[in-house]
Amino acid sequence: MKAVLWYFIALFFARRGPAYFRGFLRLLSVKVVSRAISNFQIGSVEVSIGKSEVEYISRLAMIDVADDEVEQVSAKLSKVLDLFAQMEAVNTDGVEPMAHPHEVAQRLRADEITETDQHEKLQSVAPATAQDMYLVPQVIE
Amino acid sequence: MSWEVVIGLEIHAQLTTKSKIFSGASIAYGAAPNSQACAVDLGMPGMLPVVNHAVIGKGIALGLALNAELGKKQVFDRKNYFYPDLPKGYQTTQMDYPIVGKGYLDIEIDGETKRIGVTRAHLEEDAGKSNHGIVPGMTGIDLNRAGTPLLEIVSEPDLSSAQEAVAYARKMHELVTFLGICDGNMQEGSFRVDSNVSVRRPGEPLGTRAELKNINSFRFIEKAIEFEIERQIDLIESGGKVVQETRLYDSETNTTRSMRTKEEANDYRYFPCPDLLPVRITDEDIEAVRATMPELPGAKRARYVAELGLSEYDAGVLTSSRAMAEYFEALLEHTGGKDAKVCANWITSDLAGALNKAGLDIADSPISEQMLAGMINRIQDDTISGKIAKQVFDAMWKGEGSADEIIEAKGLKQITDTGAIEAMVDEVLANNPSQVEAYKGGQEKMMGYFVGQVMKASGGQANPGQVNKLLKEKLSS
Repeated sequence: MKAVLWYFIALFFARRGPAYFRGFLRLLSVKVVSRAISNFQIGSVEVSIGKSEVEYISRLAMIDVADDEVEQVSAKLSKVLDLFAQMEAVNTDGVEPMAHPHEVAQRLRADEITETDQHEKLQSVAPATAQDMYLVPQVIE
Repeated sequence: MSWEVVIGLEIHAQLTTKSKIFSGASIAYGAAPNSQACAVDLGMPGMLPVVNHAVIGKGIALGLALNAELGKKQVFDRKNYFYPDLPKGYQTTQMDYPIVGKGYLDIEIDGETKRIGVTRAHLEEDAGKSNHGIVPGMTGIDLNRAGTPLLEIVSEPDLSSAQEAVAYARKMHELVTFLGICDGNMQEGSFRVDSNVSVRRPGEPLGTRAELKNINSFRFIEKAIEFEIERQIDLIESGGKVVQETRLYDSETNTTRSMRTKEEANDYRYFPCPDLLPVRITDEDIEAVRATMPELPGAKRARYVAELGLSEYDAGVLTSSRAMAEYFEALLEHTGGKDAKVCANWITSDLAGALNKAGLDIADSPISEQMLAGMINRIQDDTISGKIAKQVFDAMWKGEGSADEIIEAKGLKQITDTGAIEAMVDEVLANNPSQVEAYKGGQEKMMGYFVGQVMKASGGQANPGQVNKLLKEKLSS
């Protein structure tokens, strides 16, 4: 799942030109890459994702993957991890991991109440509500 | 063979801000469901969180109070998991770069000081609340609490008994309330303590821990940990194994029981939140916070004992909350700072007793610092005796006005006119010839009887010092 997210982030930055993509590469610390890879207990060269990993990831992501899709999905995810394996070869010694491609700090907001009660509007798109609460299938405690 | 107990605490302190950590919605407790959950809190598409300035300041204050390293650069991460009360599908928290790094807190246990390590403290958002039984088969979700700012304070596993764990939790509670960064209300969930408990044979590696959650009083935390220690020892000694799990404490039966064991270890897939930039704090930011920090309870306590001559006990009571200490200091100031002991006594005995009986906090005391000072000033200038003062105190408590008004209205002014007191002394001695004989025959404790009689005759208003003096003169002549 982490890989999928990184995949989308990578796509996002790659499409915005080389400067952004360099930022993204810096963002990938050795730690992040090794964590992503160790999640799937795979070596740094050969990367593959089997059926059980797909099931595990889909359960974590709460996305149903039909049996006949598993093969396709595992191939796609493996490709993403191949990319990570490739990037792991980049020497990042002494490079401080970035938390964000922009080298700027967060601007802070004053501690003031600026929002008003809009629950009626917000709940107008909810599938089910009662007593101003959102209703979901019973959560067993 | 003996057992060693290892406990670490995770404390969630809700920060006393007006608005949420990432949105301008109110965090006031008890509002109508979802009336304080805005589009940002709900994780609506296109919403951008912005960090609340106040949470950073409050985190810095705790870091300074714990003598901790401060995170000059902080990064917010997403902790991913699915639960209906978490609308975004992730909790925004600080994983690798928290606001507060390694620090410590000293606790007193059996008269000795023990230093407890604080691993870290990080900022994060709270989740919403699930409500059951509104509609059969459904769960109602109130997201007012979603996005409420929390500081999660993680201790080192340095605590080795239930008593130590509670002493640490109390000390941390005292600290955050003193700093004013958390209101400390455990019933409303503003201060939540999770305990990680394990046991081992001395010298062996750490045992498997169980986590005790959602216990909302210090007394129950202590009992729950005590029970859990016993349970784990019994389990291991009878050949069993401790399972890593979350256990719930039942105060009715004083036992802990397993919450569902998770099928697999949580995989939260942390990664930096792309919606938030790193937060950077400067030395100026830190100094600005330091300048607004109150004197901390430990330092205050030491000063009360060393400079004001109070007992350890009184100093402890007076620094048990910031409101209490502020009351005491204001009282001392309004009475000219002459007699700290007298001020301390009135607060720790009469006022604390009355407040306790009425279930009031000192901040809501019907007798203000100025009113109590007005009364103490009348004791010190001999207008009333300490005994009469108790009547004045009761009348002030009932809202009958200031000390001066009450003394005037009830005619409680102390009799200091020597002639008037002398007349009463003479009368008492004349009416009690046999007691006088007994006194002169060596029964000196009769003195107390005479003083009592004169005070009674004066309606309690005679100056006791003068009464004693006159009685002694008359009886020895």
